[in-house]
Amino acid sequence: MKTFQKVVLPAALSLAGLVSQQAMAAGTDAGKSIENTATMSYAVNGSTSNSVEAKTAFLVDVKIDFGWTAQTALNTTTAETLDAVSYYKSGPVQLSNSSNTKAFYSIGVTMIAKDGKFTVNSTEYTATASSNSTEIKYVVDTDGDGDLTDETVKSTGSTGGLLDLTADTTSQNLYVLIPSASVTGADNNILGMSVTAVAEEVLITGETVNRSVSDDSGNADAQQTIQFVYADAGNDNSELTYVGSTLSGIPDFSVIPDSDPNNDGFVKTSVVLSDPISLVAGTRPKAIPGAIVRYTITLKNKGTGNALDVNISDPLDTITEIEFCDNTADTNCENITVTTDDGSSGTFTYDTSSSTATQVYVHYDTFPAGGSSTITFTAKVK
Amino acid sequence: MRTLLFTLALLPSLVFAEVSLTTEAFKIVPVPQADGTVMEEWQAPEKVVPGDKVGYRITYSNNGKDAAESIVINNPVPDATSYIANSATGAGSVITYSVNGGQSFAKASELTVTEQGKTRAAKAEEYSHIRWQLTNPVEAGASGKVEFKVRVN
Repeated sequence: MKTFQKVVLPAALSLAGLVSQQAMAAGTDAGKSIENTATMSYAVNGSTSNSVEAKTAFLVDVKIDFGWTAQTALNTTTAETLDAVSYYKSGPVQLSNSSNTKAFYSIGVTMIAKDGKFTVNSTEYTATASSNSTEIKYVVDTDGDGDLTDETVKSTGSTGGLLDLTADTTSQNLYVLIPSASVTGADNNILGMSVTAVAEEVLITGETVNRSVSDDSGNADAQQTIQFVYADAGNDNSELTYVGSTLSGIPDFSVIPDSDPNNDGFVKTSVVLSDPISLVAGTRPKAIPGAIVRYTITLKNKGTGNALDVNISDPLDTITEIEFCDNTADTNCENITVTTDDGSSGTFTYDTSSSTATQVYVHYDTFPAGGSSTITFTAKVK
Repeated sequence: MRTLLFTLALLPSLVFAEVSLTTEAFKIVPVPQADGTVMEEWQAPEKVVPGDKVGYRITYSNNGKDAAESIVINNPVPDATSYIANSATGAGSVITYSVNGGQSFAKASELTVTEQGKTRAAKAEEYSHIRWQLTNPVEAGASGKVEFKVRVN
């Protein structure tokens, strides 16, 4: 049994700030003529005259309404090979197009680094320098089968490949791809990523040629920004860590190795509460099979921006299993608790698929800048 | 010359019906006022998209020499739009509505719809037609207007 006080970056730990748009019905097709016809009947001197008709019409204009919602982020350090290139894959972001016509969007990605340099293909990102990178790609799971190998990898940026979405598209998953071979950075570097979609063209029903979206001022929601925060999967302080966040206010859960843990964004500690042998009062319990261990995960958002849609997942060590009071008669158990300094609480679950739960999951809708939270639970040493 | 005179003689009856009718569409735009209230402005129907309000104005003018009586204006709610409740106006008229394609008309409070054997009050978006019956004759040279609003589906 490891007892440790160290960085906790579990495999599924991921944070995603997001802008969410509820998908709405697209409405009447762009280009449709709406005609009004009024008819009048009357009489003059007791004689009925011929009825009179009047008409007017206007065309329905293009309404661009793009929405997206960050889904539970993936373990981004797992590279995936697409078109013979290995990428760090981030996302998914669930897309919707509530426009009243087929719309084509360019996908832009702007990045900014924090706490050190972060380089993608020799383009260096710092805390003060943000820019687009032609290296960044994206891919959409158009058929929804979860397999991206049959999808087209497209370039980001205004000259990159356009994302086309038919009207009333409610859910397609987009992933941002960073070539893993071209990324260099020190562990615990932070990379903020802002993904933007801009409507470039539309195809109006009944027409065969796209029209450029030259004046987008009257169309809300044509451009959206979404931020990702990544974290390492390794839990070994050796892998590349990259973390994304907002560009204007950056949430920061980073850790500084070998420094005061009170200054760290993630800290996990454990203490052995009891063991089956050390029954004498005052005897320090040992982490032996059957021992009950209390884990404490402390999170602090040291940054300047709120972190949204924060998911904490802690898969336990293989030699422990969660010991919740709900599942055991052991009097040393403790149910999971989540406390936050602002009085709000996260929602938490654990794997109930088996009697030996091995993973804790906690979700925070909003983790405020400067806020902190503590998660505690117990586990039994197998 | 005879031909020309004949043509001129026909012109008035061809160009001017005794009572003429026009209809115009407007995009209804909420405009904040200095006192904090919001007023609706009827503007040219440019950049109308789903969800927008559109106002229709129907204007009648008696161009004849005699009063026009028993004037009834009938206006189907345009396709791809929904009537906005209580939006129909018309001075000196009785306004009724239809929910069955213009087969019958009734006041809004009396309109019902039967669904699965149950009868309920009709919703404004279920109206198919609007009808104005003018209560008084329109004298020669006089004019008037009626209006209603819809929302683009």
